[in-house]
Parts: sequence; C-alpha cells; structure tokens
Amino acid sequence: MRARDGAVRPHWQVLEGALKAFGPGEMWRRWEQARQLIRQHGVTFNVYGDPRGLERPWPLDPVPVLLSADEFAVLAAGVAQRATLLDRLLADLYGPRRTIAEGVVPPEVFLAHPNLLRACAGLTPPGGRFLHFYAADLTRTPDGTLRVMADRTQAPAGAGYALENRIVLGRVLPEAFRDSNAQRLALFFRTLRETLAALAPQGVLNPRIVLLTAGPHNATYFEQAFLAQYLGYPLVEGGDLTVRDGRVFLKTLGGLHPVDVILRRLRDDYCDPLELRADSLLGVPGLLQAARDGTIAIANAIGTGVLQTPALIPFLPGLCRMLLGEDLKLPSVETWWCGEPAVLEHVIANLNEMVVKPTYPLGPTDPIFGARLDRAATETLAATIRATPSRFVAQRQVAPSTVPVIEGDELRPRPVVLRSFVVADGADGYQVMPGALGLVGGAGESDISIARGARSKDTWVISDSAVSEFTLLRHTVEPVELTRGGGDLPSRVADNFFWLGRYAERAEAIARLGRIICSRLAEPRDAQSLAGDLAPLVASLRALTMVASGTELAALPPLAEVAQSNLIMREALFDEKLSGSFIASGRAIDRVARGIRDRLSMDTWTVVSALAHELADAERGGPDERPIVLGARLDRVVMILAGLSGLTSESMTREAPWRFLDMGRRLERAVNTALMIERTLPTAAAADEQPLLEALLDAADSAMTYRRRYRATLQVAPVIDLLVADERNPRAIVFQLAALADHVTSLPRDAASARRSSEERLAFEALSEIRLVDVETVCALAGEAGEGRPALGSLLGDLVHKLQSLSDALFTAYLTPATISRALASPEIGA
Amino acid sequence: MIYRVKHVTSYRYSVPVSTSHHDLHVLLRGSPRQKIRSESLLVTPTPSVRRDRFDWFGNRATHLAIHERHSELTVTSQTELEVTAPAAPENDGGPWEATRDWVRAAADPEARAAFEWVLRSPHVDLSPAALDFAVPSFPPGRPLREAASDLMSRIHAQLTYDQEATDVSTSVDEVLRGGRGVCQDFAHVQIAAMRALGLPARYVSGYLATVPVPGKPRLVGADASHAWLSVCSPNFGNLGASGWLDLDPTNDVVPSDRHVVVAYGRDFDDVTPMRGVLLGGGHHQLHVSVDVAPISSP
Repeated sequence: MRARDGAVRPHWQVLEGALKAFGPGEMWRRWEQARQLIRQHGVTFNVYGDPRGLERPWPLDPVPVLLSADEFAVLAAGVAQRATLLDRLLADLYGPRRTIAEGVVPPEVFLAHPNLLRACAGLTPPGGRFLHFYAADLTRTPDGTLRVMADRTQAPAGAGYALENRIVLGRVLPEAFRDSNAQRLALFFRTLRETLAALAPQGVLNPRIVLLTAGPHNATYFEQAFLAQYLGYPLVEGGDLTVRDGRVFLKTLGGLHPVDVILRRLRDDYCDPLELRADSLLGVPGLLQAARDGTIAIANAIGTGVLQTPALIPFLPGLCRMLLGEDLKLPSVETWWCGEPAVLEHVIANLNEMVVKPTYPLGPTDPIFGARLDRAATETLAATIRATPSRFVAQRQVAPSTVPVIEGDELRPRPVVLRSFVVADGADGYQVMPGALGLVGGAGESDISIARGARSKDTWVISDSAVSEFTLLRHTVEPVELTRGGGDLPSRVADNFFWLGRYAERAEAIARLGRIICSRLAEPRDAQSLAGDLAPLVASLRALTMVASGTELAALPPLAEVAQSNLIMREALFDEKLSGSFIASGRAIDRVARGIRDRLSMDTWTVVSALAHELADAERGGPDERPIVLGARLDRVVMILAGLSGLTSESMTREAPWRFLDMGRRLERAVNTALMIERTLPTAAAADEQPLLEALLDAADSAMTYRRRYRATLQVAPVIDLLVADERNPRAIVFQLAALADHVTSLPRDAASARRSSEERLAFEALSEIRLVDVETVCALAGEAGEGRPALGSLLGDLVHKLQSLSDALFTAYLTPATISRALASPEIGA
Repeated sequence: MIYRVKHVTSYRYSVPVSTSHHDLHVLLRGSPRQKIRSESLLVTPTPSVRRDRFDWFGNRATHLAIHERHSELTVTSQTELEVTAPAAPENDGGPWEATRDWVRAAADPEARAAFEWVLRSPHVDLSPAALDFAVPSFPPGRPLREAASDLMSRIHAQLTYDQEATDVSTSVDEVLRGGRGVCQDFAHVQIAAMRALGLPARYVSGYLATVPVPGKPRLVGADASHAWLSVCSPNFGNLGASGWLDLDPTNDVVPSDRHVVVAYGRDFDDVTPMRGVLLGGGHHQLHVSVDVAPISSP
C-alpha cells in the first residue's frame, strides 16, 4: 500500500481516502455487513476431516488488495506466458516426450508422478489445447518482484470465490469501487464461456456444456455450484453422465441428452473407472475413449494434473527456452528438487531457510518450515529427505509483502498471496483475470491457505480510465433461442427435489406439533388436566415420528405422565438416530439442498442456511431447554419452513423441479395426516375424543377454519371432513391427492404410450376413493362398543399403503438412483 | 516357429448386464522377432463400439462398448504368427552396477527412457523385503546376466507355483511372505527385486507353446496367459534389439521361440488382458482358455 518512503502509492489513494472517511466504526459496520452477506449467500468451503462439521463460512476481509494497471500488465504477461508454456509441455508429455529425451527435465520428475496418466498417451484434445483454465499462486518478495509459488493445472479452484468476493465488496464498498476505476471480472468469465462453447465438436451449433463436480463433499463444492449457476451450465456428478455408442449423455427425466463439453472440476484420475483409477465411483466409464474419439471436449484435458508438482519449477526456464524459444518472464520463488545429488546437498546445508514440500502432493499436506525446527528436528528432516530425496522439494522461505487487513477496529499489515486465474481465449493465447483471489495469513506467516485459517480478499486492478460496465448477470453473450423446456433435468436432481419436499414437510409437521406441546407445557396448570391434554398430541407425534420408547402414558400418575410426554417430544425432535425425527429431517434438508445448490435461488439458499443455523442453535441448547425457549425456537423454524414453501410456490417455474418438490411435499403431507388420524382416532375412547380432535386440528393448522364453521362443537365427522375430504382446505388429504394427480399427468413420459402409467393409476385411484367417500358413514362407530371406528381406520390405512406404492412407482419411473457401475475382475495371468 | 494362437475369455453373469465398457490387451504386439500373419478378434454379443489404439508403451489396446443386454460375454482372439527366438545379449552385461549407474546418470536419451523401468509401479513396490531378496544374487561386480539369471533361479526354487494362493491384487511382499503364487507373481517379485537395486526391468505378458518339446516336460503356464520379464542394459546391445534379456522365473528358463509376446509394461496393471465396468452383472464366472499350436506349413 505504501511506497518505501512511506507515501501512499497512487493507486491506493482513492481507497485510502474512502477508508479514512469512514472512521473505524463505519469500517466495522461494513465488515459485519460483509459477513452477513456471506452467511446469507451460504458461501462456504469444506475442510476434509474437520470434526466441526462439513462446512465453514467463507472468510472475507473487506479491504481489497489493489494492483496498478502497470503491475497487472507485468503479472498478466507473465502468467499468460506460463499458461502457454505449461500447455505446450503437456502436449509434449502426452506426445513425443522430447523434453524428457533431451534431458531438459529429469525423467523421474514426470515418470514417477502418480498423475502422469499413461492412458492418455497420444490423446490429442480439440485444437491441440490441453490447458484451458490455469491458476498461479503469486507472492511479492521483499525486493518488490512478483514471483510464482505454485502452479494449478488440475482443475484450479478459487475463481468463483473471487467472483463472490467481488459481488460482496461491490455492495460493501460501492463508492470506492466505482471511484477507483477497478476493472470488472465479467469479461473474463465471458471468455471462459466462449472458449468452452468453441471446444464443441464441429457442426454443433448450440453445444451442451456441463460442469462436472466430485459432489457436495468436495472442498470447493459451493464454488462449483456457484460457477455453474453463474455460467449457466448444469452441475453434474459422474453418475449423471453415461457413455453410449461413443458419445457422452446426460441422464435426465426426459431421456438421454448428448453432452458436448465438460468443464471439469473432478480430479482427472477419477474421471474414468475403466482406464484410470478403478476404485473411483465418481467417474464415467468410457469417458476417456469418448475424449479420444473427439466426441467430447474436456477442459482441462484429462492428464493436466501431472504438472501439479513444485518439482517442475526449477526446470521451467529451460523448458521455456526449448518449447517457446523465449525466456521465462515471471520468475518463481527459488525452488529445488532434491532428486539430484548436488541439489540435495545444497538443500540439506540450508534447511533453515527452506520450506520443504512433498514432490507429489497426494492429499492435504502441510509444508515444513526449516526455520521453525530445532536441531534434532532438522536432523530428522534431513534424514527423511536423504532416504527418498526425489520425493521432496525445497522452496526458499519468503516473507510475502503485506496488505492492510481489518483486525479489531483497526487496519494491520498482513502477508498476502494472490491466486491469479487464466483462461484460454479463442485465438491461441490466454486471458488473465483482471483481479485475483487474495489470501492473507497471520502476522509473519508464509504458509497461507484457507484450510489453515487464512482469510480471503478481493483484488482490484485499478485502471487509469473508466472501465467497461459489462456484466454477465444481466446480459447473455449471444441471443439465445427462447425455450420453456425442462425435460433435461438430471434424474439425480429430480430425486433431490422430491426429498427436499418430503423432508421440509416432515420437519414442519413435527415442529408444529412440538410447539403446541411446548406451549401446553409452559402453561401454569395442574398435572391432571395437562396430562389429559398432552396425551393425544404426543400420540400424534408418535404416529409421525415412530418414537419407539416410552411406557403407556395412561398407566402413569399425572405428574410422571407429563414428564414422560416431555421426554417423548424431545426424542421426536432431537434423536438423530431416529430417521423420522425433526433433527434428522432438518439435516436431510441441508444435505439434499446441497446436492441441488446450483438450482436453488439465493433466497431459497438463505432459508436453508437459516434452518441449519437454527438447528445448530437448538443442538447447542441441549435437550433440557425450557419449553418456552424451545417453543419459541420451533416457532422460528415453522416460519423459516413457511418461507421455504412460499418461495417454492411463488418463485419456481412450473417445471419438473417444482413438480418433484411439490410431489414430495404433497405425498408427505397426505401420509402424515392419514397416519396421525389412523393411529389415534379410530381406537380412541369416547372420553379422549375431544382433546384428540382439537390436537388434530391444531397439528393440521385447521383449527381456525373449524371454529369459524362449527363454532365450538367438536365432532368427529366435521373434523374428518375438514382434514380429509374438503377440497378447499390446502391441508386436507384430498387436496394433496388432487395436486399429485395433476403432477403425475404432467411428468415427461413416452408420448407414444397410450396406457396410463402406474403412478397415474395409483394417484387417480387414491383421489377418487377419497372424493367419493361418505364422511358420515366412514366415521360411524362400530356396532359393538369398544371397537371404535373401523371404517375410518381401514380407509386411511389403505390410503397410506397406496401412497407408498405411488412413491415406489415414481422411483421406478423417474428417480431410480444411478445404478453403480462395478469393475469386472480381470483374469489372472498364469492361472 | 509358426503358431496359431487362440485365446478365449468368457464371463457368465448371474444377473444380465445392460451395458458394459471394456479395455483389452489381447491383440499381439508385432516386432522383428514376432511377425503377425493374420489375426481376428471376435466378441459376442457384438459390441456397439470397437476402437483399436497403441498405448503408452506401444502395445495394442482395444476399447469395447456393449449396449446389448447380455448374460454371457465371450472374447476370442486368433492370431497366426511367426516367432524367432529373441536375439541373445551380445555379452554378459558387465558389472551390474554399471547398468544401475547408467540409468541413474540419465546422461543419454536411452537411459532417460529406461527410467520408466526402475520406478515403482502400481503392483511393484520397491520394498525393503524385495531388496533383501535381491541382494544375495548381486555381489559387487558380478556380471548383470549372471546375477539376474541367478535371481531367477532362486525365485523359481523358493516360490511354489500355486493357483489358489494369490489373486491379481496380491502384493510382492505378500508373495514373498507366503512363498506361493502364479507366474505374474513370480515376474513381479523379480521385477521388484531388480528395481530395488536400481536396475531396469519390465513386465511381459504373453503365451507359451502348448505342446512340450519332445522329451521335455510341459512348461507351467501353457493353456493360459503367461508372464515373464525383461531386463535391459546398454551393455547387452542396442535397446531396440539385443539390449534386453528375457527371463521366465516361473520355469527358470530364458525365453526362446516358444514364448509369444502380447504386450509389455511396468507391471500387470499396464497390460491387463481384459478389464471392464458393468451395469448389472451380479456375480460372474470367468473362464479362460489359450491354445498355442505350431503349424507345420510356413
């Protein structure tokens, strides 16, 4: 930020002025705002093996890193050249291997690399280009030069986070952003889209491009979903794709759709269990052959992971002269590969200045800082390196330059590393993102990574003049054909929407019952009447969640009965081992939502995040939370879930995702209501009927309607009419069945078939049965005293059974999860 | 010698397979000592896709995709070829350390290319056990051919041929501990032992002539796919020809014109005769038969 003489460097002046004008309080307020936005957008990253859970919020510091136009020009020329060089190196390694034969790089560096995918030998990607997307980690050393610390060629992560950082900062510091003439990122992503579209095999006019992810457990899954949404590509997992007759297809509700281009975020060695890692379930069998045949373009090409080794760095200057006939423009941090004897001795003699890294980082590994080791530890490290020198690389420990970071309510200097992103352009060259992902570590730190607690920063490239206002969010690149399609929904996605609907409905139903029970428990009443009121509610809750434990309530004295009711409610809410419990349903919502994150709007995701936070709070509250506190919590949960159903019914287009979500919800609600009635009312003693009917009305959110229609007289037939047969009541069973019948007729299916599908048949049968029911008759008591209302019981029992068959039929027809491919045992030799 | 080779691999599935993809290494590699006269590859059911290619090592590989529902898959390859015995190394190879140092120095293109054969590979871990096993055959200064042949004989003497003891995933250390295995295990053991010393060794998959030479016992590994190994040294001669010494530790012989080469690689994993990924299939039964018959008329 400051030059050596202490003066603020010119391109920092606008921002400096803005920050000064704020004062500390305002800066703090804006930081809070940034954190709020990140939480709302659900920006997260996953840390493998983190006991605290799958996701952490993305850490963003609101003060951007600034680069002057001149600085950026140097950086851009350097990283673009590096991308070109690495691309040519890949073509050589999977082709003639002249670089190895001529000794420009020691043979072991690449031949021993686990990611040298020999199956890719001779595979020429479209246009001969291997590397379409590349990132370099850069640091500024104390002498002022930018140097590359590491190259990312596999499937570089972070561009999406850089974009998200920009979106957040654009809202936190709008004035400073505008006045600084910071360059926009959208053109970079437009180039990415154009490059990918141009990769499609010749003759394909409107190529189908997908983003291939490893799935929700991947460290940067959020980013992948975000990018897929921003770029307008379906986010697919390996199981969503299949290779038929040498072509790659996306499995959808409407059948198989050809895919032309894959933007790959899955590690290359996992891409094809047939020819690459056989133990990978994430890949697509036959993908490599399709790539060989040129029917699919993959960016980056399979095999680019071989360049991800720091051992490459010392040989880049020579490789650059050989492959490009020019000198390397951007220097690297001094790096030594220990596989050469003379180099090994140099490294061992200077270990205290070195950062030691594995040559082939196969998993998350921490670099070792020689300077931090005592004498004994240094000797141990030296012995380890000597045992297998070629497996180690040493890099000079550098003190990265610092940038201002908010800590407390003041700005402090902290070391920064920049990840710069490069995309292939339409010609032969590469375009560099006018920005970067900044990562800041603690004071004096130089191993900076998000997984180790670093914060991220937006990076602004300050132009001398006003910048283009282009944004990918508002305009599309080319005029596209108007479409109202929807048949191209991957089956896995439909599956997730279906379950999102079911779990949301289930969680809401349990929360509604739970809060009624909490409010009763909070009333100052005598145990006798309280126990009487609670019993039917708890019975309904049990019907919903199948809580197993608990003695027969009636057998207990009133006080114990109340305590026992309380216990059952807590179990129904918080027993995670109980698959039907509230907490299990809530977690399932989070899980399935994550699997379709690219298809959920920001608002919907905000609701999902809010629910997750509420659940986490509830768990922290523990099982002994007072009923009044728990009740308030459940109130909020009901509101959040109501928000979710509001969003889905008002903001989702009436296409397949909405239909599956709504089918899940309707099916669940019909089953829940039927179960709650069937398990309690037909066999209830006459004396218990009144509180039971009241509980059922409450649970179905229909008490108000009933009172308005019938005043206070609680009778079985009118209640059943309202909860089962009244088509105007959105909580009534028949309402759900009518919606289901509508959905199943609208699902994509084989138009040639005139027969009704089995799911249609089941839905219509269930609907007409309930429509035709004579409520008075079905609610009648049996002739013999004590037998209750058998007709009602069997009507609802049959209905539950039928709905389960309907669910099964839907699965068979549409949602059958991708059958897992299995490896064939290979014949043993000499057997 | 002129042979007609017939190699049949068949899988029978307990549950029908709706779609499958396969990668094969069954077509024979041609070379000056192995001239292919004719060949055919018959697959039932008929695959939707068949693509032939040369792999990283110059072997012939075949990709198949079958989209027809089937309960049985049969792959039959038939080849007629003329085999001459490999050219014998021009000399004893000199002290074995010279070859080790030649690879290590990586001073000429051939040495750099040979680096491929000294590194660990998926089935060949350069373990301390492999090194310990190698050492007695390699006293300082012993000529490479003599030392490697001695190692072959020791493997033959110390390991028992046993089709039940191992499977395709058994490691070299496990074979050394158990003392039993099939020819791919014998080959892997010797490859691991030589590489542990820094010597370049590659895995060869192929076949043996089925009918024994009159008066000699039938070799183990006939009627099935066979495996052995080759060791290279610039001192043996040109690496394109006589620079390789073939060794068959399963039979303790130096391969002659009775060994037919299919492919070579770093180990079994590079040249697996047949692999596949299926949808469906349940359990499967595998049956392999190989017939290598000499034909009289040239």
